[in-house]
Order: sequence, then structure tokens, then C-alpha cells
Amino acid sequence: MPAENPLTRLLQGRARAGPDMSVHLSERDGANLHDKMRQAYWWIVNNAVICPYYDVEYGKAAAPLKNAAGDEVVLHDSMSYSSFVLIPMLTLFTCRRALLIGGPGRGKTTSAILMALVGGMTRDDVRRSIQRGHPQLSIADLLGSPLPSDMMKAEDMSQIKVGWRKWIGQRVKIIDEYNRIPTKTQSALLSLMAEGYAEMFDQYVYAGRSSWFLTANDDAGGGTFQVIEALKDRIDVVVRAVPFNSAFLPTLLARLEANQTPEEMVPTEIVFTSDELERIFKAILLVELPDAVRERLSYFLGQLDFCRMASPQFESKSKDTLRLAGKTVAEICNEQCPLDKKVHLCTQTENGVSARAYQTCLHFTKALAYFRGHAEVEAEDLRQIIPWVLHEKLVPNARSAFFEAKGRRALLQDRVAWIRNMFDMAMEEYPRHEPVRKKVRVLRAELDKGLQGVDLKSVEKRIGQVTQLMDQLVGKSELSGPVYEDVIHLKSMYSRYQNYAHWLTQNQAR
Amino acid sequence: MTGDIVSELERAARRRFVRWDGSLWKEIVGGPARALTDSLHAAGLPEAHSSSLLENYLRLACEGIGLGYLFPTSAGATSFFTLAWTRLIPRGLASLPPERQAAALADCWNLAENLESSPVWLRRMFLRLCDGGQTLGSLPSLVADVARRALEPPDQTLSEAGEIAWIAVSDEDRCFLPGALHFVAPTVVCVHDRLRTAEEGTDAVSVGVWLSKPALALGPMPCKEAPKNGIDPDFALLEDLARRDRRAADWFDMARNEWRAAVTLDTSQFLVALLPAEP
Repeated sequence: MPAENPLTRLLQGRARAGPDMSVHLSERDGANLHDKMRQAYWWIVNNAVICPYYDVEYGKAAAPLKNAAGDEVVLHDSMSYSSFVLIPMLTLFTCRRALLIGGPGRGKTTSAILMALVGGMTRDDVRRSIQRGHPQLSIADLLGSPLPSDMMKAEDMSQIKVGWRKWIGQRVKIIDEYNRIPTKTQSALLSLMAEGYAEMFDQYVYAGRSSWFLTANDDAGGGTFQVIEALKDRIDVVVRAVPFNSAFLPTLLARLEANQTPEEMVPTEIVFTSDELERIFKAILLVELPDAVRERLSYFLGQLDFCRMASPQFESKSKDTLRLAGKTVAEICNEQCPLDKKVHLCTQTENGVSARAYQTCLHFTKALAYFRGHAEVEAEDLRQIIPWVLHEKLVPNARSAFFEAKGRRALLQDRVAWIRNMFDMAMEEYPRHEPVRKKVRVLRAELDKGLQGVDLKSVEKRIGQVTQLMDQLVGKSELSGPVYEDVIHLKSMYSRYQNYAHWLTQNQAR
Repeated sequence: MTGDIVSELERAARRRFVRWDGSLWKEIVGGPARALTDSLHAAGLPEAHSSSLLENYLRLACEGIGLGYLFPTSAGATSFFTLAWTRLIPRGLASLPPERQAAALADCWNLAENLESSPVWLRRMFLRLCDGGQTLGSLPSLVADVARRALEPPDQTLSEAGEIAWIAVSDEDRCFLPGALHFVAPTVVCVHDRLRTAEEGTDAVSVGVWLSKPALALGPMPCKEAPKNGIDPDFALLEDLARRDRRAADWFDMARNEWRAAVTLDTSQFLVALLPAEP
């Protein structure tokens, strides 16, 4: 029988009979880690965190159930998940930073603790490593302090040994009520979160690859201290606590009577080893992102930063220009701008998003696809993730004419609904703009092949194609966010070709 | 059977497994485990040896329940693990030589666990063969035999004088109307229902057939494929088949490889298989 026949190995596995007639079972190798991820998710949802509804919904939506007042309930025909558990789980596996917001007693800290336990920390370790924000929290409380004996003896700083706090090196970091941390200490936290290290007396401690869970009692910075902008910007995703539904009162009663908290019951089967976490991290990065999905993401996010009124200079028509001038979109987005405020998304936001936000969207979308057991991302994954990533990053322009229409004012109170609505609006427009973008992509692909060996005649031909498309866009289309992005993109191609043509001409002259 | 071990294993399992099924555990402890205890006792094995075997059996059953390998009788579905732990082991373990008994338990576990991640047709094959009277002691030779016959290219190729087999694929599903078909292994064919096809991510209704001698219907097999073969008019064996058996006419679809061919008919719930003639 040929050795490669896999069926011959059916009797080989992790069970072995020992000489003492006992059967030993070795550990499972965790081959199917996304199954384990889903198992962990369902255990938490069913046993630990009471989720009254599942708001990350897949599948076709049936016709909504409506009443005369316009209230709607939409039912989907496929799997749905609770964002309150799902997003923290994805944060755990992507090693990113999540902010859990909501009123007191809504399970924010419990959810973060469960993530730490699922991430392989012991209950004692978790309890000791939670950093609880309070107005007197100093940098020494947060990071550690130099050893007093060294301070007395040392002749230079390198002799002072710093006793770093143990939590800094943990795989899961929990900062409870981060908006109660004083500003100076927030800065120390910022450098740890942003750069991954902290410094004291010329000594460094590194945070390593880790997942951060920060909690805050509300998302409007209503704690004791205003949260510094840069720290807010480092938060990748926002998770909103869900309200308690009284139908689940018997569950609470059962917990009370059993005198047990969910954290005490986490089964070892859903606890991930550091090796498994590392393998999942790598596997998530390998999830395919099809071009069609990536294009949709860039179409949506790319148009948010555009403001036609920001500057007469074409390249500066962005909300950043306004920001640097101390102006807001609300001040200048008026009837002088010919764009229809009901259609164009640029009017709805005060700002665009950074490259970091693009990356976060991509990472979480891949993680969601992996969690669902898929090898590639779907457009719906994007739709489900984007509101949570942009929750704290996009500021609505409350004075936009868009919000004056009937029923739209309410979108200002719910950022998830607002951002999802914007995404849906963008996706409705996308097929109309796609043919233009396709032409831009073709030109880009040609440029990306490289310019080595391309002669002057060909370069001039390409410059002609780029200019022609720019002319078509500027002259015959309305200057909207997506068109602006394409024109800027084409102009950058034009500049590269021109520079190359210039270089070729000079070289030929020699 | 000591209650201590049972409750200790259950207590540990409750903490370890998300999918722990307490009622299934009771079902196993009260049924197959008791039968195993009785058969070990009847075989006159030393008490310590029997206790050790029983503890191993229960520990592996515990693991099997926690991992979802073992189904309750009420589930309506079965698996090799269920078959082994509820029938093969309780009935056959005591009759093996004592020095082979622990190894037989390990073999059963390994085969069951490996089958969980194997193609459905292979799982079905073992389920059918073991359900049909195979004993615990013959597992190693059964695995070797299946490995040879199912996955390796057969020695004989199809020829004109081949055998014809009529297989009633509708025996387990009265509504089954054989339609398109495709090979999933050199001698295993997957026959799709003509009407209940794969749609929007759902599985097609299909039945597996092992074209061995004798042919073995493997039962329902979920399949996401949508095979489209059509009839090959140049396939001489079809003409020969129609000549040899007048029932074989009005072809619907066919699948063939070097060693086997199978045909579905427009007006029949049977599958017609062409197998090489005996040398």
C-alpha cells in the first residue's frame, strides 16, 4: 500500500494506550481556531453577558414591521451577533484598543474581564492588573516607580532601577474609567498605547503585542477630566453597552442564588493559549480582501474629508484646511456650495478620517470575516464594522441641511445609525461612480508596472490619457468628494509622468 | 461502576466544556457503560483491570460529549463515535485479549476523531460497514481494507464485459429522484436529487454510493457542488449497457472515470453502475 494514502493514518491520533493499560489523550492542537472563537463568543453571550438583542446582522432583511408612528423592526434571515461581545472579542484577537462606553452597571468592566480570561489570564492576574482611573492616579501609580534604595545610592540615572508595574506586560490591558485619569497621567498612558513603551529615568518598559480595553461611563468626556485628543485618536473601536431587558430578570436571580459570577465559570475549553492567540492574529492578517470590497471602503471613506468651500486652491479642498484655519464645516457649508446636501456625504461630517482609521477598518473587517469562518471579506462585513470603528472618529456637522429633513435629526443622537446610514447612502451611489473609478484604476495599474524602459512617446501618450480623463471629470462632472479624490489621484499620476518625461528629455539631451 | 468517578468526571467536564450535555452523560452512564461493566464482569477479568478499562471508557466518553462527537439517541443523527461508544465497545471490548483492550479503546477514539474531520462519504462508509457487523477487533484490518478500496486507484479498468449493478438510492429517501452525479473518490459517487439542488449557500440533497462489489449506498451526504456532466454519446459502454439490459434507457446524466461509471435515468429512482468484470 502506498505510504501517502491518508486513510492509513486513521488509527493514529492523540489517543495512546500506555503500558499500564490506561489510555492517554494528548491536548488538541486547536486546528480550527475560528470554531473556538465562535464557541467562546456563544458561551459569553449565553452564559455571561446578557445581550437583549443582536445588532450585527447578516442576511436578507425582510420587509420591516411598522406601526403608524413610523417605528420599524427589521428582521434578517441569517446569523446575527451582539456587538457588545463580538467587537471586544475581535479587539482581543487583533491586538487593538477598544473603548467600552455606557452607563454604570451595564457590564463594561465584566466584558473586558471576560476578554482577559478568554485571553489566558488568571482571575487573580486580571483583578490585579486592572487600572482603575481616579483623579489622584499618578504616573507612578500607573507605570511604577524607582526603587527608593537605588535613589539614595545612585550616582547616575542608569543605576536607578525602576520597579515597573506588572500589568504593562500583560497580553490584555484593562483601564477602567479612563476618563477619570488626570491629564498628565493620560499623557503617560498615551505614550504606552501609541508607542508601545514607557520611559522613566532613562529606562524603558515595553507593552508588547496586546489588546487594550478602556471603559468610560459616557462617550462625551463627562468624567472628571477631559480626555486628550491624541489618546482618543488611539482608540480603534468603540463598543456600546446594551441596556438591560427585564425579561432576563430570572437569569439575574439564578446568578444571585448560585452566588457565582460569570467570570468564575469560564470553561477552560474557550481559553486561548498565547500560541493560539498568535496564530489567530497571523491568520486574520491572511484573510483576503477582494478588490471590490476594498474599492467600496475607499469610495466611502475617501469622500468624507472633502470640502469644496475649504479653499480656492484645488489641492486644499479638505476639512483639514478648515481645521488649521480654526473654522468648522458648519460655518461654511451653506447654500454657496452648489452640492446637494441631501446626497453628498461631505456635508454631514466635520472631519475626515486618518490613515490609521482606514487600517483599523481593514483589520477589524478581516477579523470579522475570520470569526465567521470565511477566507475572504464580504462587503457586508465592512458595513457591520465601520460604525464601530468610526464612532469616535467622525464628528457630525449638526448644522448640515441634511439633518433638517424629517426623521434625520435623530441620527445625530445615534452615531452607529448615522454612520451606517452614510455608508448605505455611499453604496447606493457607488455603482454610478464605479465606471470612472475603473478608468482611473486602469491608468494607475499601468503606472504601477514601473517606468523603467518606457520611452518618451509612450509617456506623452499616457499623459494625454490622464489629462483627458481629468478634463472629463473636472469639466463634465459635478465636483463631489469621490470625483475630487479621483482628480487628485490623476493629478499625482500626471506629476509622476511629467517628472519622468522631464528626466528623459534631459537625459536624451546629454 | 463507582459513582465517585462518574461524578468527578462530570464535575470536571462541566467546567471544561461549553457544550457539555448532562443528560447525554446520564444516558451513557446508565446504558452502554453499564453494559460494558457487565460484559467485563462476565469475562472474568481482574477487578483492577476492569475498573481501569471502564474509567478510560468513561473519560473518553466525557471528552466525546464535550467535543460534540457523541449524539444522544433522540438526536436522530449518528456518528462513528456514537456507534463505537454505544455499541461496538460495550459489546466487543470484553471479548478481546486483555492486552489489546486499551489499545482498542485508543484505536476507536483515534478513528472516531479523525473521521470527524474527514469527508462525509468516508464517515458514512465506516458507519455503514461497522453497523453491518464489523467487530472491534477487526477495526485495523477494516481501515486498511477501506483505505485500499476507496482511495487507491483500482487495479482493474472498465471494459465492455463489465458488471452492471442497479442501486436503489431512494431506499432512504422516498422522494429522491436521481439527477446529476459526480465522483468524490475513484470508487465513490455523489448522486444529486434532480429537484432539491444547492441554492444560496444551502446544501443540495444528495446520496453517496460506494461503487464497490457489492455496491454500498452510503446515505444522505450534504454537497454544495452543482455537477453538470451530460451524456457522452461516444461512451461505447452505454450502448453496450442498453443492449444488455433493456431497462437501461433514457439516460439523464452520467459520471465516469477509468474504473467506474454511473448513470441516472429519466424515469427511474435507481442508479445504474458499471463495474469492471471479475478477472
